[in-house]
Amino acid sequence: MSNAAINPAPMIGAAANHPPDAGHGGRAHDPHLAHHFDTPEQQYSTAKLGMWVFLGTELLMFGGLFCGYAVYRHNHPDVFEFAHHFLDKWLGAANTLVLITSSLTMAWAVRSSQLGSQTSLRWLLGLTILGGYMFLGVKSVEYHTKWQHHLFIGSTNKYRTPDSIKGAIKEEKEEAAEGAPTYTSAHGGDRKPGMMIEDSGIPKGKTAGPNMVKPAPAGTVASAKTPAPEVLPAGTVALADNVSLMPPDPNAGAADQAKIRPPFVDPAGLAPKEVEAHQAELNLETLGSFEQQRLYTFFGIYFFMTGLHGLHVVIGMSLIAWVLLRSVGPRNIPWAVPLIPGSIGLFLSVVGIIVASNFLLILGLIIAILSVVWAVIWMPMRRNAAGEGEFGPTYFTPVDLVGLYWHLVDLIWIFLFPLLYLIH
Amino acid sequence: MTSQALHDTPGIHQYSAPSDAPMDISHSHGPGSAHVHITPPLLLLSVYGILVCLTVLTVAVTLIPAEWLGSASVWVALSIAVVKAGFVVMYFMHLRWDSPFNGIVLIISLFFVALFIGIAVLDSKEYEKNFIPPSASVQP
Repeated sequence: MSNAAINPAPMIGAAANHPPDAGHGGRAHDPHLAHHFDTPEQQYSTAKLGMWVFLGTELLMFGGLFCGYAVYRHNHPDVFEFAHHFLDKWLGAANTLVLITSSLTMAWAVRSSQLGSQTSLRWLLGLTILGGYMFLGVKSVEYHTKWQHHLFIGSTNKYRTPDSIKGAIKEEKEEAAEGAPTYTSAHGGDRKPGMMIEDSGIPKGKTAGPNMVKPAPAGTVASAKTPAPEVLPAGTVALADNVSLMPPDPNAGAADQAKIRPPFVDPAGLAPKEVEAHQAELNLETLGSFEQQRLYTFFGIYFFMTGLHGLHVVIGMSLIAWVLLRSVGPRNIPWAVPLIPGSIGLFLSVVGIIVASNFLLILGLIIAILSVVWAVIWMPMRRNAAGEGEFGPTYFTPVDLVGLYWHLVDLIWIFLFPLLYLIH
Repeated sequence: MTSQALHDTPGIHQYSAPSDAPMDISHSHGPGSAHVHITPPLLLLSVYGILVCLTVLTVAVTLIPAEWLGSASVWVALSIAVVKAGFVVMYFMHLRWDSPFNGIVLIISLFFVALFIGIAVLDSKEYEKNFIPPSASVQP
C-alpha cells in the first residue's frame, strides 16, 4: 500500500460514474484496480466468477472419484459394508467438526476484511490455518493405523494377494474347462515360493463360499486370505501381516492350531469395544470369495479420495498463509515470518505421526515451538505498526476467493464423511 | 491506509460499515456498481450451529439398528450432506447474495457430475447381467 500511503485519498478518480479510462491523465487510482476494468466492483465480480468456474472444475475432478466410488459400491455393496469397519467414524466426525469450525472462522475472516478490522482478520486467518492442522493431525492418526496394518493402496495392501485378479479369472476359466470347480488350482497354482498360501486341505469340488464351514487344518484357505498369525508382541508393527513380503512361515500349514488365529480380520483402527461389537461382521468368511479378493480396492478408493482432499487442505492452508502474510502488511512481516518454519515444523510432525517416526514428530514439534517463541519475541513490532494490512472495504478479493476455496474443501468433506465412514 | 481514507474511497459498497465519511461519492451508483453484502455474525453463528447439529444427526442415524433403515440409510446420509452443503454454499460461500451467474456455474458443474455418475452407474449395470462372479458360479 505504498501508493495509498503517499496519496491519502487516492481513489476519487475511480468513481463508478467516471469514464472507463479513470486512473489515467494524472489521476491516481486504486493500486489494486487493473487498467482493463472500469471499476473495482467489476474487477471483483469478474474475479469471483473466475473463482466459481475454477471451483466448478474442482467439482468435476472430484466427480470422477465419486463416480468410481458409486460404480464400485453399486457393484460390490458387501465389500463396502465390510470394509467400513476399518474406519473410525468418531475420528471422521471429529474431523468434520474441525473443518466446519475452520469454515466458520474463514467466513468470519472475510467479514473482517470487508469491514477493515485488521486484527480480527489476522486472528481468524490464523485460527483457520490451525483448523487445517488439526484436520491433518487427525487424518495422520488415521493414516498411521492403516500404515501399521498394511492397508495400503494397490498391491501393497494386505488383502491384495499378488495375483488375486488373475487367479479369479483363471479360476473361472478352469472351471469352465474342467466342469468341476477346483479351489486349490486357482489359488495355489502359480504362487511364488515364500507365499503364505499353501495348498488347502479343502476337498475338491467345494468352495470357500459364504456358507462354507471353516475347514479344520490350519494354514488353509482361511489363512490365505486373512492376516498371518499374529505372533509378534503387541505394539510392534505387524510386518508379518504382509503376505507378499514375508518369508515362509514354518507354522503355515502345520497342525499347530494354537498359534493360528481364526479367520478374524485384524480390526485396524478400532477400539477393542467396537471390535467386540462387530466381531461377527468382521469375519472375513462372511464375504464371498470373490468379494474377499476385491477388498483391497476399497482402500484404493479411500486413499485416493481422502488423499486428494488432504492435498486440497494443504493447498488451502498455504493460500490462507499467503493471505495472512499480505494482511499483516510489509512492515509487520517480521512477525509473520515465523509462520513459515512453524508450518514446516507442524507438517514434519504430521508426517512423523503417519510413518510412526518419533524423530520426525519431535523435530517438527521443536521447530513449531521455536517458531512460536520467535513470533512472540517479534510481537512488539506488530504493535508498533498496527493497521498496516493490505485488505479493507475496498479490496478484499484475495481473502474472499481463498475463503471460497477453503469452503469447497469443507464441502467435499461433507460428502466424503458419510460416504466413507458412515456406511451402514 | 487510515480508516478515513478507506471510507472516502468509492470502492465496493457495504451495508453495515460505519459511515462517518462523506457519502456523496460512495453512494453514487454507476453502471456496474453493486452492494456487497457483509454476512452478520449472528447469521454465521446460526449456520455454524445448524451444521454442527446436522453432523451430530448424521452420526446418530448410524446408531439406529441397520434393519430399520436398510438401504435407505445411504440416502438419509446423502440428504443430510446435501442440506449441509446447501448451507455452506448459500451462507459461508455467500452465494445467496452473489450474482446469480455464479450459482448457474455451480449448478451446471453439479449437473455434469450427476450426468457422469448416473451414466457410468447405468453402464456398469448394463454389463452386470453378462458377468458371473466366480464365487457364484462354483456353488455346488
